Amino acid sequence: MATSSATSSSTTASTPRVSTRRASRFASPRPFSSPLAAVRKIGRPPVVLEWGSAVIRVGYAEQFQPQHILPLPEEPFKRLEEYKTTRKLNTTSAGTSQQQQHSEEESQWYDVVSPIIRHVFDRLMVDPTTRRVVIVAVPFPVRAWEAAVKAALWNLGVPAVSFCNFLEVVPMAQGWKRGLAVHVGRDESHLMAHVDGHPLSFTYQGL
Amino acid sequence: MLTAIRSVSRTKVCRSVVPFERSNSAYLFSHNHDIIPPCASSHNSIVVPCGYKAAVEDSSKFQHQWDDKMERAWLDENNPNSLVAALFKCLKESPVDARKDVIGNLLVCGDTAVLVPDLGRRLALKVKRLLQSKEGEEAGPASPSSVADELAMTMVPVATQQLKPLADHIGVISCAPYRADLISWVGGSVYSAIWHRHDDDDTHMNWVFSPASASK
Repeated sequence: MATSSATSSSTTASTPRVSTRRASRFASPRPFSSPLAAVRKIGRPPVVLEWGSAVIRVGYAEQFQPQHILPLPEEPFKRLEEYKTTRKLNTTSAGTSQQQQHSEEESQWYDVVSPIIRHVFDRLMVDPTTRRVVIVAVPFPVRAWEAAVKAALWNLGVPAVSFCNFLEVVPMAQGWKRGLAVHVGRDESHLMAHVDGHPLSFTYQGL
Repeated sequence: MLTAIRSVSRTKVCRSVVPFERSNSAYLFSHNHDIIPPCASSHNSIVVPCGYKAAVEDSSKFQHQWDDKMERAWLDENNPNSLVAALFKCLKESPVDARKDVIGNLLVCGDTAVLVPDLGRRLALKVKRLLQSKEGEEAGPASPSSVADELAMTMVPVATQQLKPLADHIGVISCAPYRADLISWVGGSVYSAIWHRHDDDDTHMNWVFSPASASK
């Protein structure tokens, strides 16, 4: 018994003070397993993209003005409207399923949205796979548009995307918590009340 | 390529918080104003857009002087699609105890706030004048004379009687130190600067990950 206790005390004294877990924390860095892991580790500020009715404002988070303000081309949107009107005429004669209509509308939106997003990243001169994207858009956007934007971003290799509406984030720029945000754009207007830092979506009025 | 996109989007992309029927800004990206858009509010009535292009004669030219068309488009209480009517509706739907603070901090932003700088002040003055007036408690035209008036006749008028005590509390706040058209971008920048450093489980941001990164 005495021998065994002496042996155990000697082994305790010889063990290193630094635990195995801490030693691994200071180990040499390993390459990232995925672009998403790289973004998490590096913590680069995401790209903030405000999709307005006439222009796109794009820049990086943690900055106080956008890097670029890019005008939206009118021609693709006109083509989309023409497609929608012809589509309405055709659907009255030949009935198609709603899901089919949605997927077709989504692909039409993709044709419009994809070159614009590619142009945005081209102007930013940033690798899309290294940064997440925050899109600031209208409240309750068109579902097909949202899906097309996601698809376009993911085809570029963007790891993650988040959508928020501009009426929600307007008070954050100034820090007030109770008030009424009135956004009058070039095409439309939106109003929403904020109480105690919460946007009241049931007070939303869009014109 | 589109087939691939479609197959991806069917599985992962089409996760929308708002149902398609509630997508009320369908006209948003349309630059064609002859098309009457669906109403963006919770009502199902049809309205005409109320932006800068609808309020000026030629939207390609910069017009900074206030004129009658702007007055009719934005500040006419008989126009159901004006900013004044929308503001009354918004106030009426907001909680009673918060109305005083809501009307006291009126922030007008967007591209039009830059192109027409005194829009916020004019809006507040008009609302104050309407709330202080003794007659005309129910907004709405007496007889329809235009498309807007016919639409107004089909809508339930906003009763401003309950809102009259708020007349003395109207206040407009400035967008300073930011420009009125950039403030929404700055808000997005601040919001994402705060929350993107948090762990994905703790953050308020609703991140949607791409199928490629999620599979890895």
